[in-house]
Amino acid sequence: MSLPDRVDVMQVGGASRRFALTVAVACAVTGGMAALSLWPFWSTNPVTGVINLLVAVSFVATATALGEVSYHRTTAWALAVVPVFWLMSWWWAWPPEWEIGPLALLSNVFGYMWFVFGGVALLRYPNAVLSTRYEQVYFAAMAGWICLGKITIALVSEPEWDGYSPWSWWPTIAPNRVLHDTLVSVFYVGVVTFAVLMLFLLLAKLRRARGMDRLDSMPVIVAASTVTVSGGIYLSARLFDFPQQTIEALQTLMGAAALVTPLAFLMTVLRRKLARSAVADLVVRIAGAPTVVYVQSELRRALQDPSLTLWVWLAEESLYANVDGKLHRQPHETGGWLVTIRASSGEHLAVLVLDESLRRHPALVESAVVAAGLALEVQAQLAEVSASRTRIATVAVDERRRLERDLHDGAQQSLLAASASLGAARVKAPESSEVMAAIDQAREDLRTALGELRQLARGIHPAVLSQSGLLPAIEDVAERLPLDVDLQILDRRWDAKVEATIYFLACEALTNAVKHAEARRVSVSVQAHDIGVDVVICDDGRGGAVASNGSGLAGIRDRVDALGGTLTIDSSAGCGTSIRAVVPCA
Amino acid sequence: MRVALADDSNLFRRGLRSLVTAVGIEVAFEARDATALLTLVEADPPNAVIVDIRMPPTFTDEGLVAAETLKSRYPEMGVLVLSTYSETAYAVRLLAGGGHGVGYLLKDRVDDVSALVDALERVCAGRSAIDPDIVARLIAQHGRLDEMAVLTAREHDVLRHMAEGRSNAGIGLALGLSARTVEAHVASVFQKLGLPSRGDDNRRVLAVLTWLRATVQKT
Repeated sequence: MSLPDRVDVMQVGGASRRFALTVAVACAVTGGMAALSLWPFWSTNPVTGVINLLVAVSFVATATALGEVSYHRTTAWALAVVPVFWLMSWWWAWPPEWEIGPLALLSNVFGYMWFVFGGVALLRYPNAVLSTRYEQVYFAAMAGWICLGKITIALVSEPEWDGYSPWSWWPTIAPNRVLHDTLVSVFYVGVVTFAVLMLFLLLAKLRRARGMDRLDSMPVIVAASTVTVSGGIYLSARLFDFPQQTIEALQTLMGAAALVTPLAFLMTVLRRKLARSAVADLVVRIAGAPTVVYVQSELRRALQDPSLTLWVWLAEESLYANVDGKLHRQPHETGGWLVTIRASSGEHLAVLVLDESLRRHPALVESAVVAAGLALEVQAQLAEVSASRTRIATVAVDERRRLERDLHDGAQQSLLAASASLGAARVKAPESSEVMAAIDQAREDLRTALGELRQLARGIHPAVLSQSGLLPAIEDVAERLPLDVDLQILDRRWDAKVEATIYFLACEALTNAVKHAEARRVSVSVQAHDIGVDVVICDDGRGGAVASNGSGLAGIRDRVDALGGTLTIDSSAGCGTSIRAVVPCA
Repeated sequence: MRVALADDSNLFRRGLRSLVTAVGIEVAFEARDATALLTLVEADPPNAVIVDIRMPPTFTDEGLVAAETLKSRYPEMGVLVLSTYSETAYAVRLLAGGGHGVGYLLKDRVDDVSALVDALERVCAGRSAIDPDIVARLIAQHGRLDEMAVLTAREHDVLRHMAEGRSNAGIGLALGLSARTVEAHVASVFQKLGLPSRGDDNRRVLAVLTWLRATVQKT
């Protein structure tokens, strides 16, 4: 598991100036070479000259730009030699006095090599390798065919038969016009066959590519197909001896088609910039992401990797969990690129399993990892806050129950024991005596004390709630109220803190209905909900209830919040009050 | 009369023992939980048992469960369940077994020995006894209801005493009425409230209590 190196922003600025200089120099050199190579056209056919000059310059510019990424350097070199061979192939048009020594032969033998190197560059992009053996065999065979084919033809021909100056140096052994023409035909058939095979290789590559790679290679493949098809047509025209004008027009057309290639690389660069901005948006989109599922789906979208999986590290359990809640000791995937997501503190948060092809997009992945880290960190903090609130709520409920138990088993039993002893004393005391009067007074005092004690205990935590649950406990409250109470309470037990929260919510709502709303009827409904308990309390009073600071309802809202639930109050004046709480519970 | 006491509070058991002995009732034994109570009853069955509803180990309804067990094993034994809280649900559950010789009293009744003795005597005689406070609360809850409005004041009183578990004779004694008059009032109450069948006195208690509770929940 490794993190891609961080990009140093300051260096990028300096590098971009150096880069511009490199491109300018490369273009100038190529431009010069093109001006010389295409010399005869500037007077006779400037359109062809301009198109081919543009082809040469744009290829070199593209190659220089691609070479900036060390990963693509070899591909860039392959692309950079394309214009050299391309321009060499035009030397046949030179004036005879320029074709010094072996220049004409070099032009003849290597002129077609642009197709080989261009093909290599296109098929290597963006993976920077020839991914199948077929591709390697194909290019070796094609290079061999072109070089050996041309040399063989030269052995049996004079230079002027191939359009060069008769005074050029030529390795002629046994000139034979018929043999030459036959070999040339065979040579063209071979090259056209290679062009057709190239189309198949491009299609196969497109089928193999996934996600980001597919999007990256699409324009390049389209360009390569265009060049291959136009090249194939041009060669076929030569093979079938079309009129010279047609062949020249097709040659110009091929040049124009070749111009598409640098455009394709440019499109890919632009597309990557867009992808990067999509990842930048990701930070904004998932910063407050509610769930891990959402983070994962956004990452999948931004990185164009539908197989991407996010494994969240559970530090307490020392396990990884995926979005389906499956737990594993290690992110459980066959293959893929594992990238660690860390919090800003360096704490291990999760692991991303990415498609291998994304290794070629380190900057993109790094941005996505940083975004995901932020989102997960915020989530972890929220979960921690919510967990600690729930813990506090649980402790509070436990503490209340303990207090109530103490009051019940301690103070209350003592007072009741005293009542019983007084009852016994009363039996023995003489009727209508002062002793009897004193006992009766003590009995009254004890009754008051017991009543007050029970009221206190009920406010802390009603015993009936712990013993029998919500239905009897709320029934108990309802029975004491001077209004009609309709109870629809599911008779089952919930978690103690959930029961306590609902009980006090019901008490608060019922008290408000009586005291403030002057309601005549009130209904309490407690039902099971998908995620827990659904409580609705409605009255027909005058409404206007709010959970203002310090009010009883605000306290209840805090309790509900602490359990991760929601409380909504609908209480417009004159329309009664409806309070609804949904509390999560197993 | 010999009674057994079961309560987990030593203090309360001591107070209760002094109270019942003061009126000449013999305490057969004391137990601090339901298991001990059942074992001791097995060895030496008393006439009646006074049992706290809330006892170890869970402090929920152990006393009630023990009462139900005792009634199934010793149908003639009076069982008086004491509770700190007036839970009508528990009272109804206790009576559901037929109400024969069972009672449900609030612990507060221990400061009024006559109420306690009255309840004890009733359960020993095979009748039922429900704490007047529980009945009073249920009836107060119904004071505003249409169903209750059809009853006369006298019928109101009769209903309350019926719910407490008194027989016609007992009601007559409490209200200073003749048995025949009480009988007429009871018939009228049953007819006005639409209660299904009169059955025996104990079933009558259950019917009245259930009606009161059901009406409270329905409203």
